[in-house]
Amino acid sequence: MSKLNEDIIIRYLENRCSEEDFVLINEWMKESDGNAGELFRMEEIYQLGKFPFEKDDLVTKAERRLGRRLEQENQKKQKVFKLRNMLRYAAAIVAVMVLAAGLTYWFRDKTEEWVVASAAHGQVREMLLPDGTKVWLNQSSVLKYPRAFEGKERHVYLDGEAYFEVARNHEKPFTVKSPAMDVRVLGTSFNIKCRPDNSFAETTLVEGEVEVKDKSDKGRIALLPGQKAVLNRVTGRMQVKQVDPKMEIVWHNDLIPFEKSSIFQIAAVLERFYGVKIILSPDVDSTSTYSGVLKKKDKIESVLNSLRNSIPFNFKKVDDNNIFISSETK
Amino acid sequence: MNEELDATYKAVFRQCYPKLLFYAVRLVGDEEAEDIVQDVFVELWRRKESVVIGEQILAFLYRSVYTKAINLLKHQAIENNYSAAMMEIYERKLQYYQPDHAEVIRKIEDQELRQEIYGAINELPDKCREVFKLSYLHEMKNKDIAETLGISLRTVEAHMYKALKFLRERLRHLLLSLIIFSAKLLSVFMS
Repeated sequence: MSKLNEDIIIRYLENRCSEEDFVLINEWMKESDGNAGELFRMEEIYQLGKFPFEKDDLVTKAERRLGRRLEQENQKKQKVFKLRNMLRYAAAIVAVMVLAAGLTYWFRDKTEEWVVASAAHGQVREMLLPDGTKVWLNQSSVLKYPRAFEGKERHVYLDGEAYFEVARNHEKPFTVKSPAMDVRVLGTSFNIKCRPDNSFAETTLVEGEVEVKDKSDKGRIALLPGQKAVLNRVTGRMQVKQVDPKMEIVWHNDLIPFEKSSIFQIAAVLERFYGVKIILSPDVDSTSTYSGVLKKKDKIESVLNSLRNSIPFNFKKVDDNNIFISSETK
Repeated sequence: MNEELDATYKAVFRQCYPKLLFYAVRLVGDEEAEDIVQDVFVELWRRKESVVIGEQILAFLYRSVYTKAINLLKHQAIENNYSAAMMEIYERKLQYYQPDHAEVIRKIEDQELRQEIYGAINELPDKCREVFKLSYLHEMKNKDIAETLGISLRTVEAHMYKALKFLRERLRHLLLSLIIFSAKLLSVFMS
């Protein structure tokens, strides 16, 4: 072949060789040692003339890109450094803690100490127990708990209403003892209501698992989320009801959730929370629904005003305990 | 001490990047070339405590690019299903571009060579130069050039013929340019 067809050379330089071209080129290269070098030199010069060596942003763009990568490299280095240090410190801290724990065990006062917490009328009190359990104590309620949870189980005593978010500890079951019932949990969120003047005691489970037991140990009920156990203190009978747990625990976080609720449903909920009677006019819009969360306010008027942004209605306070709701007058 | 190192590193990057990129493109093509060169510089950064940035740094960088290119090519060959003929040609190409062959690197580093080519192209008369640059630098087809510049195809072909004849003469000492531009000359009438 000795010389390569010039068309093929052009195609090679312009990067549009076919498979046949490559076969021919390869054959030609095999013929003599210098052939390959010749073609590659040609290619090199051809490309040298084209390459934008002097283009301004060629280097600046690349420099920026490199800068970003080097940043990442540095961060990686720092993380490794931090981790190594942390491990070193952690080991030291653990050693100190073990020592401290050992010491306290020897010098501990054997008599257990109790903390008594109470929430006054109109007050909700938020607390953290020694094991990390969160408690919201409703008004006029009393909770008694130990300074430290020792022993195989965790026990607290409740008289009134409280909402619990129990810290998980499979080794140590958590029990809330109230005058009417004991609620034993493993790690969960639930509400207990047991007021002295009530004839009913209730436990509502929001999340997790609880076992409700009445005092006489006659009945034991395991609850699933969304269920409420109601104990009739007179008859001693325990019943399980399906409820909307969000509604049952509204008092503890001030938010009333609604899901596609009509004015009727909303009125019912407000009646319950504000202790008022709501009278609905017959021409009130009964088809519109409202989904969302209402913040519970001190006065029902504020709540009703917020609601009016989404649902068209008018209201009038007839007297302290009665509210009249009518349709919006245009 | 650190700042000095950083300043040197930056200077090396700015100086060497375009040439290293060109070298990488020859080996692995446009797409992957940038990544390879970036990787090389990142590695240099990681080892900056132990590597002395001196005169040998250029050779070091070319060698790093080369090594990475070989690995990438093996990959590409499999992914893109290169034929036996293509693979053999690529192997020879790798041989040609071996960084220890001083010749190859010298050519890339040789500013004067490039300046000669640019210079020659810039000596072309205006319209002629415009047409040629579009064809050579931007790889446009003759008919596309005609459309873009709003001139006839025949005018484009005439300009190309003139440019190539001129460059062939002007750069005849670069023996190979004869072949390149002669071939292109022919192709002008073929396309």
